[in-house]
Amino acid sequence: MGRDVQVASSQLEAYAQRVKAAGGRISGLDLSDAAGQIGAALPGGQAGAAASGCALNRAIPDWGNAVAKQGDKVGAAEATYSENERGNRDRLDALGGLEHGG
Amino acid sequence: MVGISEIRQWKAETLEAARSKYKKILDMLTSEGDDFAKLKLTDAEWSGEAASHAMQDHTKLVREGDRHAAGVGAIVKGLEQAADAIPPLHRQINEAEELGRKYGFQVGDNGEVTDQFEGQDPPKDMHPEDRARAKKQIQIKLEQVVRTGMQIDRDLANVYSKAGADEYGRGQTGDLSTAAAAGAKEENLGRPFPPKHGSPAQNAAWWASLSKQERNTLIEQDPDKIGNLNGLPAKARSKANMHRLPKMRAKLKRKLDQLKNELQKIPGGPGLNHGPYESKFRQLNGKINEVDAKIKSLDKVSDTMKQGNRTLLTLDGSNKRMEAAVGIGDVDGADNVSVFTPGFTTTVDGSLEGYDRNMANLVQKENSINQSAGDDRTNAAVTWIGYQAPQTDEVLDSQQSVAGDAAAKRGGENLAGFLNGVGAAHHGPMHMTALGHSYGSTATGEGLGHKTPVNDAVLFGSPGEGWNKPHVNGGHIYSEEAAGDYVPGAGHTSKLIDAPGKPSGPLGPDTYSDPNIEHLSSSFGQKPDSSGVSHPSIGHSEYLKDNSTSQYNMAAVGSDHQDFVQQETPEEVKMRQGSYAFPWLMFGTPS
Repeated sequence: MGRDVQVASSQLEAYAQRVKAAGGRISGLDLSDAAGQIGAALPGGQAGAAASGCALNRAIPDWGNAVAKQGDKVGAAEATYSENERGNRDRLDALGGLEHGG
Repeated sequence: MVGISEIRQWKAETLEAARSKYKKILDMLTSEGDDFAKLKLTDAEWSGEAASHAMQDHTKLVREGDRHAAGVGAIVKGLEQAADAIPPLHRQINEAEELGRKYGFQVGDNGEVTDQFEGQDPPKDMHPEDRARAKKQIQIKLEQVVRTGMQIDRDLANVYSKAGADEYGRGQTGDLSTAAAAGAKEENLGRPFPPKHGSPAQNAAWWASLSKQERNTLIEQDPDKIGNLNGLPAKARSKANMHRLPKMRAKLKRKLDQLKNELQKIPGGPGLNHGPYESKFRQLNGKINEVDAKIKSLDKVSDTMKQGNRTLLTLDGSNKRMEAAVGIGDVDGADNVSVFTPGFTTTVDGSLEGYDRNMANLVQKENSINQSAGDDRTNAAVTWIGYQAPQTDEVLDSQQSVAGDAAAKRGGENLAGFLNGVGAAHHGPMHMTALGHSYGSTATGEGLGHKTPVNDAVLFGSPGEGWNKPHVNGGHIYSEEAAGDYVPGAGHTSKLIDAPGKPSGPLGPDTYSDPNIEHLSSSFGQKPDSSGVSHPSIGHSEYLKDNSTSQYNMAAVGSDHQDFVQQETPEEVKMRQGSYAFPWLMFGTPS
């Protein structure tokens, strides 16, 4: 590591907060209620079952959680960084960086 | 399993309520997701390995959200289309029930049709044939309702499967709103397909079971399936065919350029002998003429459509020569509809314009007859060139020769399908007349041997009525034979030599030997509606001449005023027979 880095702490903090908030709101989206109406609207059909079993019903809230987690991670990184002297060393890297792919 | 009983319970408003919920979810998802996407930090704000990893994760998440948004966008669109598609199904069920009530049938919960007069005589004013037709129509309507309903359900289920598998969107738009819009655009629930080998009645019922959006989508995106589909409304066919026309033209133009290019590569210049390539040269030249004629045909169709008040009911370039049918007036709604089939040497490029003008004059004449009779019924006419009419260079081709009935038989089948299509698409009562000239009268006769909704027919300058025993519903078949017209005789060699027995040639019995056919005048006439004197038609090509007696008689039949027709008198028959001694009359009115 040890190469020059740019860090604007306030931007990281803002990013973390806003991403966490957006992720939180997305994770609260509930598709199951709307999906449940399809079977009632089209009795006898296969669309009702397809709607209730649609992977998006779970995938969207899960995605919201993943977005919120991204905010958490950047927030944690920023906090850790702030506790250290602000030099030209990328302390965040020294901490092992972010868990890539998480 | 989807059946009538299930479809009866389908609720468009519940689907709409679900769509509205999904839309709110989508709005929230795209709004929050777009905010998230835009938050991506720049290098100036944060750089280094951790930053790089963090922003890679950010991008990955945006892509994931992009696909989710595209999926929900597709669901919203699919639900909108499905909700739109339900009312036409219910309308069709109601219409089937109403038709059942009118003719003594009951449509059960699951679509079973029971005869309320089973084991007893139905009321006398209900004709058994009308009842049988009504029952069939009810069954066809219900069958198409189930077919369309199943398709809506299956397609919607498919939207959910694809959305759940992230198959909408490619995760590369960079923002969720764009992805959602792309998903909605990608999804198209409204592309149901017509019944396979559907009858005109099935096609009509299928079309009626679709929502407006589904129909528009089909017209715009699948015009090839719609334009020539018998049973669909004239306006729908016409819109689809007008969509097809420029594409057909461009394709033919490319073909023409390619053929000309190939021709240029053949050694030897114009007018020279091409040696071993002569056959190839001739073949290519023939093909070039064929394609060129098709392009010219499309130009003539365009010009004719520009006249206005026209519908392009048939446009088919799949055979050697272009086929087309152009309607004048409201073919779907007019009280009287006449369909004219021309004959020998007819082509779209060479004949459509003139025959269209003839039909416009005929409709005008019909309108004036109605007016003078105080009749407010409306008239429409169609020039139908929906078959490969024999040409002079095809005389030796047994399948296309004017001296044989093969082309007429094929034409008759096409015509019957077309006539049934006009009948199936028509709303309100209709009086239909088939008009056939020359070889077109043979094709018309062949067509009328099939089951059609035609009430009256006029065969003029006919070389024979075909071999299919033409018949009409309730009205009459008439014929016209002008002085100096050798064609009717040419079709019947026995007649020319005054041979005993019933004259008939290769194109079927002579219209004069058929006792069911009434013979109309094509001589001078005093019009019964007091609109003055009409002129004689001379030779083979003046039957449709404006203000002629022959045209007037066709207009009288076409406008359902058969009492106005002028029968051919014995004196006129003698004059006509005498006219054959003056061969120059075959060329028309002496000037």
